[in-house]
Amino acid sequence: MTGLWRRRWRAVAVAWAVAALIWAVVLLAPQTYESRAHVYAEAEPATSDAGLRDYYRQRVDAMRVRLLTRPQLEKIASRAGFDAALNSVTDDARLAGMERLTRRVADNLSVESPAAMYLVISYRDRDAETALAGAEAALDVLMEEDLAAPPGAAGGGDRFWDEVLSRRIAEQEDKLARNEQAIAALKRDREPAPAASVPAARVPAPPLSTAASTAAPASDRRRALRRANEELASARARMTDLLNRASGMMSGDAMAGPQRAGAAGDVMRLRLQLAELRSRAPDSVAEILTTEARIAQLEQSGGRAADGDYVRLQTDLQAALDSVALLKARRDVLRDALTAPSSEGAEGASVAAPPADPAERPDPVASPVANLEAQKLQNDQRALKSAHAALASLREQTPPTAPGGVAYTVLEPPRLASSPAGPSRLPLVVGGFFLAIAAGLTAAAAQGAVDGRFSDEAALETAVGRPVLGAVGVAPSAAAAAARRRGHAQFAAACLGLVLAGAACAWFAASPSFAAPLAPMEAQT
Amino acid sequence: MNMIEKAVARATGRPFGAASGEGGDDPNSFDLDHDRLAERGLYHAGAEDARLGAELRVVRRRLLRRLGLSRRGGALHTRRRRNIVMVCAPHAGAGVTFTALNLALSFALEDGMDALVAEASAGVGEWLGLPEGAGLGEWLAAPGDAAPVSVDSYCLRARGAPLRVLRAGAPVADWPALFADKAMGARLAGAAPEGLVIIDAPPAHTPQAAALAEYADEILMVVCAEGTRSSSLVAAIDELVDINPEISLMLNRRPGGDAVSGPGFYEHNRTNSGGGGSAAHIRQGGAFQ
Repeated sequence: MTGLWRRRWRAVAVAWAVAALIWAVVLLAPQTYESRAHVYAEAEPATSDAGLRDYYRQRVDAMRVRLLTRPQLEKIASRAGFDAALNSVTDDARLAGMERLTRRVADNLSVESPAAMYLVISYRDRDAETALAGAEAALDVLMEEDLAAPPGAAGGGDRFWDEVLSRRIAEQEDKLARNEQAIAALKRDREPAPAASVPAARVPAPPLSTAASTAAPASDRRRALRRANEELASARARMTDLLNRASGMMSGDAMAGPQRAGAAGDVMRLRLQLAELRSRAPDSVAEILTTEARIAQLEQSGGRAADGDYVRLQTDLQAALDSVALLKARRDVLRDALTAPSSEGAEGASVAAPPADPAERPDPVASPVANLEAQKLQNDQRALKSAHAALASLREQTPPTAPGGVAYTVLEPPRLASSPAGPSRLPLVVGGFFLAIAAGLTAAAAQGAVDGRFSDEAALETAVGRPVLGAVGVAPSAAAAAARRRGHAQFAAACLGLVLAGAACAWFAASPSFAAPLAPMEAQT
Repeated sequence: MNMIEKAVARATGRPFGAASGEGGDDPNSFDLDHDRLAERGLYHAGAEDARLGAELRVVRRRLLRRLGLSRRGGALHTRRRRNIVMVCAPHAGAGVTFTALNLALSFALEDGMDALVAEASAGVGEWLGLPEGAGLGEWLAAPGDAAPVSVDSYCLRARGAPLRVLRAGAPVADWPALFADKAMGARLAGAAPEGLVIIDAPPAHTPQAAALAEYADEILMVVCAEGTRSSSLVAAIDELVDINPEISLMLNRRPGGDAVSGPGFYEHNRTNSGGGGSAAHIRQGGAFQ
């Protein structure tokens, strides 16, 4: 510290020089303006297919890279009018000028993807209007050119996209065919099933329950009833969970758009209503048929048929409702058998109305395991049909709606920047102040390390190798004391001046009139 | 009268403080203005107890030792005649005049030794407020083949202290030619046969310094603390070491407060605490009044 104090003037001089240089550069450096656009590249328009999802993401990344290639940069420069000055020059000069222009556009343009499917296109320039023109041109090129097409795909992205879709559809059709064969085999096994000849209005109680109630002792029947109650409670819990999820999905749709939410909500409500009707007395068959027709109509009009998550949830919910209905019927039969053991046959037991499809209807003769297997096949069939329909619909929609399969939504169009984007002068001025102080201290310390001056006799004798007779301190005269006081005052003034100059620069850099030369009204236009 | 004062009186054959030829109306005499000296940070009456006195005491002891002067048996013994001390520096502003004047003042006031300050570069007279006049240039240029020219004709003598000042006088055109005469050494040494000749010399790289160095018995190189670079110091020593290898150093303007080291400081404290001594003697208006 003593050495630093002795070289304090050197430190102050260096600090002043460094600070003045930094502040001059910061305050005189031109401001840059930035216009940016936020784009949502919907590369997953209407499918939940996992194989297609990865493909979409790769295409968005490729699109981002291709926007910064030279042909696209030239298009951006031309569209923004940056090449207006090159029209009246020779071809060679135009080539050279375009080279410089594309380099400048590449430096000023940036495309970032902060999240999947989101693109932020920004253009920086010293002129706010130029920045706006650059951002708008880049956005136009992005949306109009088929930048998402794979580089190796001849004929553009549409043909490649068709191939991908066709392959996925073929896979779905194979699965559907296999499932239908399994269902057909199940139907053949159930051909003599009595349920087909039973009137739809009255469904007899399952003979399984009846047999159990007559053959087994009372304790076994009570145990079976308890187990049926437990299974029923479990099935109801699952149904409640699925209903909650369905409700959540409907709320999400409400946020996405009232029209979409309305159709999906109607379908969901009707399905719930249908399940309730089926669990009621069989005298509401007409109402059930009306509800089913209404659901089919809504789904055909495009409610949410193409949404894979919705279809899966719908299928699961249907399975849960059917399971609840089956278990409830079984529980009722067992309870009736316990309360009225003499009434064999237990006619009039209230069960859910069977579905129209015989394979889908629970077979009262078959075991519960067989019924559940049939139910599972039906559910798979529904899901496969939905997925297939979604893929087919996507293939039909792709060419007119989204070139290359990517639909763009401009979330925030580029605007004229009302304030400069950089450089941030205030932090730079403050940082320059501290950097200058550090530079001054470093210079003083470095000077002490390299200048080879002496401050005591031992160092002097060691360095020179001559006898040192002694040392005399600074003369303690009044003039020397006055000079010392004067030196301290000058040093304090120099330090204070540095601080005040820094504060003035900081105030100047932070003043709105200096930071934003554009008037607010002008910026809005 | 302490031991030093007795030794000085015995060596010079005069009472301590009674310089030869002094007189109240002598135009070649001057009064030491101790307030002016104190104001300029120079050694003065009463400075023995101060840090400056202790620091100069250390330097004086070591300088006398290197000159071969000792105080055995209370008297100054000279092993050989060596009394010319040239004070110089690697560069101007290191404190040569300050050091030369301080040494002469402390030798004269504290030790009572006859001290002659020869001003080879202007400065001493200004510090003391002395008038311009003939000096070293005239004295060295004066023909002295037949009979040696007395330096007293060119000196200013301090009243009440064995201190003489030989001002620079007329500028000498050719110092090397002037000092080519080997008799110049004897002339310089004879200027203070019973004391020391302290030459306030110009910087070491000048021809005057080289010419004077040939006849100096000791070259005291003043180094300014935090001012003189080691490179310039080495260069200055290289300039003179072939001419005269008797070169020693002194650090001037040493930072760091009142720290004084060396045997002189201990001796100074012991002397003061023992009662009596030259400082008290001077303050009481004894010999120098």
